[in-house]
Amino acid sequence: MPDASPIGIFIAGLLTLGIFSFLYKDNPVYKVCEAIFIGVSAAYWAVEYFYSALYRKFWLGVFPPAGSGVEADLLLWGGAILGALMLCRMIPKINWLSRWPLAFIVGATAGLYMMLFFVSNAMKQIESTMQPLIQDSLLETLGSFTIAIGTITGLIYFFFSKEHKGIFGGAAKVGIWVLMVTFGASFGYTVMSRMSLLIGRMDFLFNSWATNFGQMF
Amino acid sequence: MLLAVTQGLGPVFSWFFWITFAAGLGWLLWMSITGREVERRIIFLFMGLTVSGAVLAGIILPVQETTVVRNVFDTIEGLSEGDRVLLSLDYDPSGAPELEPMAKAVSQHCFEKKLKICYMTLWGTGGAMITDVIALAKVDFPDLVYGDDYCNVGYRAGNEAVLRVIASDFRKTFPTDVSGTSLDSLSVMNGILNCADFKYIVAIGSGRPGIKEWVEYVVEPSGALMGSGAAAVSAPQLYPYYPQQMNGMMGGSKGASEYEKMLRRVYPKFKSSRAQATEIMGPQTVAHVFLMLLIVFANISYFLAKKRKGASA
Repeated sequence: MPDASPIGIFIAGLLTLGIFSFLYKDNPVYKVCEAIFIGVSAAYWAVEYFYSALYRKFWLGVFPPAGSGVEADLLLWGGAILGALMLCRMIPKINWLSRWPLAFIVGATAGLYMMLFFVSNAMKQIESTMQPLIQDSLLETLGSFTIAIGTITGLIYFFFSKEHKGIFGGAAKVGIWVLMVTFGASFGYTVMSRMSLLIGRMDFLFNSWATNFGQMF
Repeated sequence: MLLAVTQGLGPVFSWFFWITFAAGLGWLLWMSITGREVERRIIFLFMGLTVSGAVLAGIILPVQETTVVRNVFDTIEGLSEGDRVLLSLDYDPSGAPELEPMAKAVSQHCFEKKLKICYMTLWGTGGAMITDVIALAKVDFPDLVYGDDYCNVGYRAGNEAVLRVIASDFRKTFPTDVSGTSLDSLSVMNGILNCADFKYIVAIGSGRPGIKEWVEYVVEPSGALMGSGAAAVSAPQLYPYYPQQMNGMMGGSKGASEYEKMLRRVYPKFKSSRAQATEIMGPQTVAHVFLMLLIVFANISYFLAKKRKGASA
């Protein structure tokens, strides 16, 4: 927070300690901090969406300031009308109108996503897996073998039309190990992420907040 | 050696820290062996004390560079003066401890190379993150000129739809910058029509919309060159996109600390600048060691309880 005011840093520190107090047990201080967080978040998003979507996107798009060099985009009226139809949900007699923008969103998203998802998450991934096993260095060759064996055995584990016995069963067991290693790596990364948050808060309390506290009192 | 690690605490507190740490671990081991349950609040307390001690001690541990991070660094290092880079900061304050160091290091690197940066975000909370990163970068580059050296187009609502449009027409979604100035009047955006016109895109994100969406909606259709910086929690899901769909990735604090190390190795002037991610990695390692020991103790307790149960049956 390079530009935070001293009073802002002071309040942020108190709120951090208030949230940490939940680790002992649920208490009124935690409840107050939680309520402040929810309230501030709701207000922030309301203002952000109003400013970004309604003002910057729609209003300035339809009525660009004179001399800005931006042309009016009348297509935005279509989005505005669909957005207004969503609000019909609150009027029982015409709430069926809200299904139109929903249908538009579902249809457009599915159409947009289908091919892009298939290309980037299926075709390209298969292509990346089908690499030569022998690479320039021993380490890269080992990596290629690991990817090939891991992919094949992992797929065998999820192949349930044949009983997991004999060589097939052995390969499925290797597949389980591959999955376990993957879950372990994911867990390790999750721990790292959460610890970074905790360390970030500790660093804030011991450095920014403590220094600021000393200057204020 | 342990005392050297905690030298920031001073000799007395350093001894106190390690003796308390060892005594706490011994007590936890004893509780595990005797099959007694340890209340979760005691575990929280131990973890809190461990991380606090490590933060106060200012533990700095060596970081090993990896190819996946080096690729991002080398790509930026290989760009020429005046080349444009798009830096998308798609995270909120909860992701800042991990991702802000990456954004700061990449910005410092680009400005040192005299590259021009266009900042943007797909997250409503990202606007404040951009302001913070620019302020941090400006400490080392106070003479940066807005519009000539960098610009900030801010946030536009629409998530994936924003990416779908900017892949083919950047100005359709971002006709102006964050303060309403037309992009045509900013020299940093001269000749930029779509994402592929940027020499390099660095997407730094902690969720959705983020790096995955950048790959799907921008890299695939436009063929733009992209590197990324991911929060550790989402990094394992993103490695499959490397190296074909993104040429490099910084995963969590570890990735950020590697980038900081490379930056300081090539440009020693940044040694005086705070290496936030490198500072995080020391306490991170101590916390991981503590967690691994807890897992070992819990397993000892489990197997001993099983043995006792078998003997009594």
